[in-house]
Amino acid sequence: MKVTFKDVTLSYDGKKDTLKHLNFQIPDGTLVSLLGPSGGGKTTTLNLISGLLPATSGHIYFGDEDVTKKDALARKVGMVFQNYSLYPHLTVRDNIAFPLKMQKVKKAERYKRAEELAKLVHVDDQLDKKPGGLSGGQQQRVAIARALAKSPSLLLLDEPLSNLDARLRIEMRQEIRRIQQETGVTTIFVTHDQDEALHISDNIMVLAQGTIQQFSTPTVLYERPANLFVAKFIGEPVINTLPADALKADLVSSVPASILAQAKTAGIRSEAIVPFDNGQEMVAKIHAGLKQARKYGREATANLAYNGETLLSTEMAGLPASQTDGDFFLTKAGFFLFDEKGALIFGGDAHDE
Amino acid sequence: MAKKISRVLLYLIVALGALTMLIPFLWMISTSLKSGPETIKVPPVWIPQVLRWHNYVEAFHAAPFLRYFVNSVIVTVVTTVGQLLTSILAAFAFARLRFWGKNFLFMIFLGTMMIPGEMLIIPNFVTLSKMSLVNTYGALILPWLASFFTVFTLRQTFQSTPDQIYYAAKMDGASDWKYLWTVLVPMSKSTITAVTVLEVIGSWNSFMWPLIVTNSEKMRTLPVGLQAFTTDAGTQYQLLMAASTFVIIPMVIVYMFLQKYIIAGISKAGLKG
Amino acid sequence: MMNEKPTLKSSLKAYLYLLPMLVISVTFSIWPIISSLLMSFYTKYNFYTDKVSKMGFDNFIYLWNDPDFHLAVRNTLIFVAGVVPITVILSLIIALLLNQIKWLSGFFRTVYFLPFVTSTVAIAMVWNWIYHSDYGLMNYFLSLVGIHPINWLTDPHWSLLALIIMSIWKDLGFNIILFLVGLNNIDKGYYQTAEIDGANAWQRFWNVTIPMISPITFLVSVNGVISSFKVFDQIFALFQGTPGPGKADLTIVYYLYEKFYTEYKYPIAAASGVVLFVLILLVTFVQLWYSRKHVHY
Repeated sequence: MKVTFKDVTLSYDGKKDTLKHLNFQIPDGTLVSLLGPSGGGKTTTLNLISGLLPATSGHIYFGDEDVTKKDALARKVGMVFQNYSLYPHLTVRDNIAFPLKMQKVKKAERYKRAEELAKLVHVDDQLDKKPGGLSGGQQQRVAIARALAKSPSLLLLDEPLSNLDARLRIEMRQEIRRIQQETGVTTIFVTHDQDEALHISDNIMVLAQGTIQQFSTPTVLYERPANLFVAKFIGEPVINTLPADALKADLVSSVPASILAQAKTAGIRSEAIVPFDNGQEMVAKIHAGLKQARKYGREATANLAYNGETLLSTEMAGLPASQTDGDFFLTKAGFFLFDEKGALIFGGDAHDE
Repeated sequence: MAKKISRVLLYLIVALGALTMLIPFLWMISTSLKSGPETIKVPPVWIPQVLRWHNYVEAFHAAPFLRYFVNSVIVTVVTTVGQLLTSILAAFAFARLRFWGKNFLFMIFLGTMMIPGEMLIIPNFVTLSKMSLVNTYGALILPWLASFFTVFTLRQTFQSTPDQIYYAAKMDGASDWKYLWTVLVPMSKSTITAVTVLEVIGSWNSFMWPLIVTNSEKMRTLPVGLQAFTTDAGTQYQLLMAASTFVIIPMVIVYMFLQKYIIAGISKAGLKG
Repeated sequence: MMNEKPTLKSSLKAYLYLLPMLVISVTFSIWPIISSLLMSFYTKYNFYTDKVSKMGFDNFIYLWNDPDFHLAVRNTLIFVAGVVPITVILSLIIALLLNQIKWLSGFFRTVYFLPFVTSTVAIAMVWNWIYHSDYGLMNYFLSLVGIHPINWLTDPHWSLLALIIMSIWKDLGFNIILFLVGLNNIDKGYYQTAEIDGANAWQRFWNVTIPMISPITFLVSVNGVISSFKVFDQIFALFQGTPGPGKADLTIVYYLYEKFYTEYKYPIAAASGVVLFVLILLVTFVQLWYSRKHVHY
């Protein structure tokens, strides 16, 4: 089901807006992540989609239908909560069948459906257990099966992996992706973990301070962040930022003067600083001091001292250990300039358009 | 060595204390099986020469104890079930529903818990006389069908179940009513059992109110009947003790089976309140 | 569903849930509170017609001048002062001891708690028999240590003590359970830290256990005071429908019962109920005030 928000605003207390004028469209059959720092509005957005929270103003559409005034039940959404919220007194089978029981589906039929879903999420060997006897990952699977039981218009997941340990998290995010692709249900997934979002989503919506910072594919988000916030939020290690003034002298040849005049902040991904000209398109050559060179696994990192700023590079393999300074190149991919408001004015593919 | 001695000493003190707690019960049972002359033997005998189980039969027939027993069962069961129902509904409203005057109402109820129940006896007696209910089951049961204590304890438990379970149930298509009975109540089983048991014990043992609102033999509950029996039994302590035993036994059995719930209930309610 | 304000519809629905409880509690709790407050000011009242022809402070003046009521207040205060501190201290000690043992601890808990579940009336019968001056167990035990028989239930000097002993015996278990829960809730880390800091067992008891358990001690004392102020069942059963020899066990609630049930002086009984409430309130406030300084939450 396609989801459309038209100018949706939410205010909890009637004074301060928690979400401001949200406009977006989630295409049918995709998996979308809502990503952002805590307090940024992502769970609030999810609750608006689910119908648990009524919008203060604006309109919400499922497909072509205006569902703004409809509650969660009428919107027929399936939801998985952070703590799974399984009914502790019911078996796995009865948990999955519960929504069908509420719809007064006959017992034999709803158990059959529950078993099918259990098979889909790989908990068909746990049907007679109670949630207390399951591991976190299994509870997660049951919660997904229960959400799918009523053939929902949308599957909503609220930080579903945050209670799992690291290894299980990776396993479960692949599972969620698999289940989404097998069922084709439009899925919206809240997370504060960019790695999670980047790995499973078709599209990512970055939310902060109650507004959409950027809504696009993971690749675009990384390669062409719409603003300084997204640039800083996406990417590991965090992007190097420095005042554009510190770099200006080295940029005159590659950046138009009109853009350079507006530039306030420069953002340089750590992999965009390379020690040799490797044939990629470059924006600048800089002279910098070299310190704290480290090597782990196949990665070699170093801090560069440049005009009083420190820049981290992860591409320092092949440099002699004794080197203390030198010339380094900045590749065009992974180099961005932002204006006073933080908007992207140079970098990504912006100047090609 | 010193540690071992202190361990032994510890057990000795605890056991001695426990014996002190038990003596009245042992003495009651011992006396209940004695013959008349045996009860006034000095020094007292603990184990009678012949165990006179017949004392129980005699005591049971010396007064309409069967009737008292039936009355007690009826009053206890109806009071407990009724109170549980009113409390579950009210606790759910306080824990989950939105309504005008919620905080105000809650404060009023909190305040009334401070009032000693003995203050209410006179007006309640007047009310029930006006309704011509004195000396009926109605008088024994009606005033106890609402309990703030039970409402508060249940509300605590209901409130501590995660909101998300409620939302999940709502999205699964459960109405508030369905959610209450198919999810919340089964989930709160242990608290509900605890308040039920406490109410059963309280109701079974209550004395002052049944004493006041019953004036005929056929409406008496066990404690009131037992009290009245003392005048008839006079100095026949073996019969008195037999009667006391069968008033006490049912609650001891309830206690033995549901001990862990009682203790959990007391600590939950006691510590929160 | 979230973030919704109550509406007319949601309020109506909630009040439907509240209705059964509201009807009962308004009829049998809320209205009686008001009514008994009012009644305590009725000076001319006809129960049969429920007509009030005059109101005033006469009932309170009557209580002020009634030696029986003075006696009732005095006995109640002695009873509270006798029962509460001993119960609190004894139950704390027993809870501490029980907390130290593992083997049979379940059995001991059951035994200590047993009096709580038993009918006060039934067990008072047993104590009545234990206190029997000629054949009772109490005097027999005392005779073993050379003490002459005491007329526990017929001598006004002893009968209040007899009541106090029985009440302590009955109340202990409940308080022990509360203390045990409290002791269980103390984070073991505090003891380990204190031990590392060099505190010996005695110092740990005074510096960790006592402050950490103080909220329970407060709760147990307040509970104890309130329920002791309302003592009635024990007296009625122990002294077989009398307030003890020479009214030596006449308490406020017993006084209320007599004025109400045997003398039909409803307004005076109601006034004594109000006095009882005020006394409980006063003592609770004193405890609350004291706890501000000494209870560590």
